[in-house]
Amino acid sequence: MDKILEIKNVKKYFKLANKKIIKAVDDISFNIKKGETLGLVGESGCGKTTLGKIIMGIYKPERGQIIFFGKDIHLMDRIEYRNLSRKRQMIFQDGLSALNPRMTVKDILEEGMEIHKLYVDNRIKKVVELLEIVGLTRDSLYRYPHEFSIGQAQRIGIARALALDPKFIILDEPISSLDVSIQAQIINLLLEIQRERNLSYLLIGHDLDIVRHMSDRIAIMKSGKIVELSSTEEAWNNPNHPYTKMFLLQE
Amino acid sequence: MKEREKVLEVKNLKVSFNSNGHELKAVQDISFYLNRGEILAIVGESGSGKSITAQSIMGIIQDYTSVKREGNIIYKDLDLTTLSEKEMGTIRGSKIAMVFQNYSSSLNPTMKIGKQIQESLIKHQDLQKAIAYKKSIEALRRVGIKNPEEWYYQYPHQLSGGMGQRVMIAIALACNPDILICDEPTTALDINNQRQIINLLEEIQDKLSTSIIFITHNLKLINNFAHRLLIMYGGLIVERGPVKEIEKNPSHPYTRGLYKSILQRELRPKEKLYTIEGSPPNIKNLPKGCPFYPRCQYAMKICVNTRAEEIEVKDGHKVACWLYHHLCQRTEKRGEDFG
Ligand SMILES: Nc1ncnc2c1ncn2[C@@H]1O[C@H](COP(=O)(O)OP(=O)(O)O)[C@@H](O)[C@H]1O
Ligand code: SF4
Ligand SMILES: [Mg+2]
Repeated sequence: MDKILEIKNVKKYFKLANKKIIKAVDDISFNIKKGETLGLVGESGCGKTTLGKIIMGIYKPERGQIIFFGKDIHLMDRIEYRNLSRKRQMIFQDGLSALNPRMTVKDILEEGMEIHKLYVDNRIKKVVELLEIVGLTRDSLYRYPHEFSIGQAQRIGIARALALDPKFIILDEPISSLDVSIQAQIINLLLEIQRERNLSYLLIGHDLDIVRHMSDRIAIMKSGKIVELSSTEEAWNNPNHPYTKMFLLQE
Repeated sequence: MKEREKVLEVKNLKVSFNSNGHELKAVQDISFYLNRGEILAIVGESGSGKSITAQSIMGIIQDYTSVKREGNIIYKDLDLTTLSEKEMGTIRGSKIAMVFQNYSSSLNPTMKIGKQIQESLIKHQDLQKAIAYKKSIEALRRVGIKNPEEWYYQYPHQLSGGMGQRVMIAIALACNPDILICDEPTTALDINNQRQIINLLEEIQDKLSTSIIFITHNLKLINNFAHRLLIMYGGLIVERGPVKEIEKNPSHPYTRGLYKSILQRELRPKEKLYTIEGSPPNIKNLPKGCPFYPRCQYAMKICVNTRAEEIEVKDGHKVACWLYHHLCQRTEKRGEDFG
């Protein structure tokens, strides 16, 4: 099975207090293949984060199917669903606030292993290995999140996501809050671990140059709908939808 | 154009905080000026001292009890560092105004946005209510808000990101300030809204001759927009000059690294990007000499303990780096890997 994830006709509406309905995600379908990065772009408020949360199981969609590794998540039994929570991970925009301030780095990285009863005998070894992968050293183990810079916090977030050996990661604006000189380092790190582990990414992003560099295909979203989905090259060189042209080529 | 007139001059500004006996030098020693009608960009990483510089000018450095500010900040003929809090209150918001990154924490969530503009006008200009109302409608219109009479009655949480930033700018401009300081005003916005805010600021500078200090960590935003550029690193200005000139000929190794890491169009998809290795300095423990030396591939012995003076490489384009000293023989390193 070469598709990691399939989304079919997914809808998510929010009802506001004044009875108005926001169609945050409005009938969206796409799939993501093994080792592939799908870039998701669009103006803020167009529904990108909501879609990410649906895929992560944080929101329940009104309608539509979410199929991971060939199986509809609604048809999964408890063990299958538990395994899924290992295989799908998310890395957030604001690395620092995504980490529990009262936990040491070691505890943060071990938390998921604990829940999934992984690496029971050699957890610390695994934790140090993860730190090395993301470019941090052993002396980070007993420190707390606030002792790190935003860039380092983002590395800890990446290590935490990798701890459970995922197959699919949602990257929601993973670098826009980082300094210029650190952005390129994190992009390289994300590309490197993708290559080594054949990971699939859904990359939500503002910075079009970065999305273009990292993605195999691009989905352009507008008011809850995907208006164009094509290869990165095609989207930039030969856009079909007028909105794509407007959105991608505005510089 | 009339002869250049300086509206602001910062001289040897130093700002430090005291944290449990440690001296944290947020701004080590910087001097610069701002001309009337000019857009000056300050670019640097977080922690390089950009915001503290802006807050020093506004006299609003917060959060710390033991802050020490030295140097002079000359606005027209007035040294702002000598003013009492009360005197400063007549300048802040009316002569020098500021826009922050995050509008939602700068606006009053319980008050209609039009009302907030009106309050600011009444406070600074002692206007009658009816006139203040008219002026606040004008202020909203000026930042490109259509139907300002309707928007007047909206609350901050009803605004989108781009709209919120427009309202912040409207408030800042309500009293026709000479200087507008924008601290990362577009960082939280998507690219479309970023462009629109930049266009708006350009228009304001053009129509009202407002002098603008535009602070950002995103070099990509400022070409075609700002006139002059200061590059800050570790609480110092390491390079300065006209934007076009620095873009053509970035000289400080840090600046060169910055341009190199954003102009990577020639790469194949997913290819490894150029990076400046290492991380920015910690202000608890700044290098004694050049703040960039731990990351600099050209560092020499002298860089470790002695800071380079600024050297003019071209008209108005200055760089603080030993490679440009006239006796330095490593001339081949200047701009080596940059065309
Ligand atoms: N919990 C919620 N309740 C009501 N509206 C929401 C909620 N979460 C998101 N929205 C609305 O859904 C739309 C899409 O939001 P979001 O997915 O966060 O956009 P993006 O990630 O593209 O910025 C927006 O109009 C937003 O205001
Ligand atoms: S002064 Fe020395 S360390 Fe600093 S940038 Fe120049 S060469 Fe590098
Ligand atoms: Mg979002």
